[in-house]
Amino acid sequence: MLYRTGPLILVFGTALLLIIAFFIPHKPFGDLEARFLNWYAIISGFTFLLGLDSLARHHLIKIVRREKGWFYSLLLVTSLFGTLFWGLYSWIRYASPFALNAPFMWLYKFMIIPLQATMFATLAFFIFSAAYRAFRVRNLAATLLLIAACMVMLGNVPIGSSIWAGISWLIHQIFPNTNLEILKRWELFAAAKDWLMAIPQAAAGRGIGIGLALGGIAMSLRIILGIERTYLSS
Amino acid sequence: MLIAILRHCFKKNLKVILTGQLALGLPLGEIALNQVSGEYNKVYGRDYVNIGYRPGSTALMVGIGREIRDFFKTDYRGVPLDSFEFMRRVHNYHDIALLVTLAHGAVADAWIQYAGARFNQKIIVGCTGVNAPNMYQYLSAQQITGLIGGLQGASEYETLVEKPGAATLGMPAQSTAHALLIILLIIGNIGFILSKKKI
Repeated sequence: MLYRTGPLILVFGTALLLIIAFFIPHKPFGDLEARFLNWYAIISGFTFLLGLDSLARHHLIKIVRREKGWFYSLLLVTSLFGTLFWGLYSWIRYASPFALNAPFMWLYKFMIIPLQATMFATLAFFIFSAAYRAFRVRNLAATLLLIAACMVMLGNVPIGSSIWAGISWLIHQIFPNTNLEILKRWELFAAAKDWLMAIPQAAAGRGIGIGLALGGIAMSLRIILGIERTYLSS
Repeated sequence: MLIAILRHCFKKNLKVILTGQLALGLPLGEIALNQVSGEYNKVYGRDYVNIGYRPGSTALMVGIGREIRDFFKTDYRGVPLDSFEFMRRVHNYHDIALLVTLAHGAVADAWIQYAGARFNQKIIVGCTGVNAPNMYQYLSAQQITGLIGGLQGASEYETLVEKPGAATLGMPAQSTAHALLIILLIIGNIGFILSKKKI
């Protein structure tokens, strides 16, 4: 009984205190909030240990049982503890793992940064594939999306300005009365990108944001009132 | 992005406090601080400090609104904050003129919601190009003072501080990738239209 109701009472009481502390930021509630924040920080620190334990246990079991992909698990565990070792060594030897001449920083500069850069670079191929699927001219809406995407992509890079300069020159050749300098300064792609981002895109973003916030409030109320109990694994 | 911002700050003789919401990002901050401080003859502790990383995420953001020492008693080397003269005057957001968050979406959102909305902290967001669109609603609502979006934003900032760097160097590559993407989209769509006609 207490196993189930205990956490519910704890959640309800804590949430109630935090709500009161938010609206009455004076003693004793103001101090209570600071205390809760400290506890939160301590608990979130311990979640790293939990994560480390869970990750290491999962992969060590895979290695011991020689399950499929165990070699990658071995690489992960070696990298994990190797990084930890060099971090601790740098801390002891150089007073901080982030000292520029510490081995940890060597590991960071010559292994972690290039690996992350490689990871992000490979994303480009997925973007190419996803872009084609998203921007096929199946109907009017998809065609508009394609045009908007091309405008934004060109507006985001210097080549867009160069292309617009070329188009301006072409317009000036066809209509000699137009002022080439004014046309060039118009920067159609950059202007279109700014408008698309600041007006239609931001409007849609706001809608999604408000929806998410309302959903968050509803979910918080469900948790506080004990309606949502998935965190109890039930 | 960080290097350009630090150059701007040091050029204007602004004091800089560096912290990280992601432990893995801090070495980048340390590398940038070491590089730029040398260019402007800035001294650690007198002109800038690196207070490092503490777990706590949003709790930390709210906590700094009360007292920064509740979370950061020392800098990342373990030196007490009060041993730095300019840090003695820094207690909470009231003493921080501008918060610049270089982050992906979620962390920037949290700074805006907790430090900006609750403590009226002036904020500038520098984020990846993918996340920049999500920040436009904050920009147009004036919840943030500025937005540096992706490589393009960083390159613009470098131009602004008249010191072209890595971001400006990266723009030709980005131009090529965008142009290639548009060309492939056009070719793909021509193929799509032709295949539809055949059916």
